[in-house]
Amino acid sequence: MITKIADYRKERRITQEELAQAVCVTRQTIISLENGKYVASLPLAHRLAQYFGVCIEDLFVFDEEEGAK
Amino acid sequence: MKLIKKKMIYMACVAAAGIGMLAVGLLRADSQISGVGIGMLVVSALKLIQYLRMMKDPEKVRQLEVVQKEERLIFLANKSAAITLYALILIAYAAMLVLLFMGHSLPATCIAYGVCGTLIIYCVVRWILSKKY
Repeated sequence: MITKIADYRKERRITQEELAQAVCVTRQTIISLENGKYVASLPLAHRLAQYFGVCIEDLFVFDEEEGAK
Repeated sequence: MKLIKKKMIYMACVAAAGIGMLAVGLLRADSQISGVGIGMLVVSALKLIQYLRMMKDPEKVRQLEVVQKEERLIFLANKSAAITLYALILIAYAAMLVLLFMGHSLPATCIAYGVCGTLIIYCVVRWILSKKY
């Protein structure tokens, strides 16, 4: 799973802490999501997409090879 | 704030149980029971003080609520519990074999029953959860 959270966050000049507070998670979760170490649940993905005002598909790029494993 | 109140109610129950144990310990002149009671009372009193102080700081309350409900932390806790269960079963099997080779068949049998019980609970819980989800 490739995420564009960091790109959108930097574009809007928001810190990881601010984003974490906005979507009710810890900063560590944002770091893990941005690094691709953790895959967000659907509710969290929805909250993030709503926060940035984009579709979930724009924020998370599904890797078909990885998904097939 | 709801979470803090729930925790405070829980700690008040622990404190009440501690007072009860302390009273029983004093009546029976049993230092072990009263010792456990004092321990429970002190820990719950300290926790209650901590929660009362936290209630004055809404930011800390919010942080605590986020940490309690955070999906990644819940995921980590579940994964840790799953790995711990597997490790526990493997260690129990190893201990059982060592005890059998050493000629201690009774403790080995007890451990074997313990492992079987754990696996039965696992299967039952899994079956219930599969019905639920």
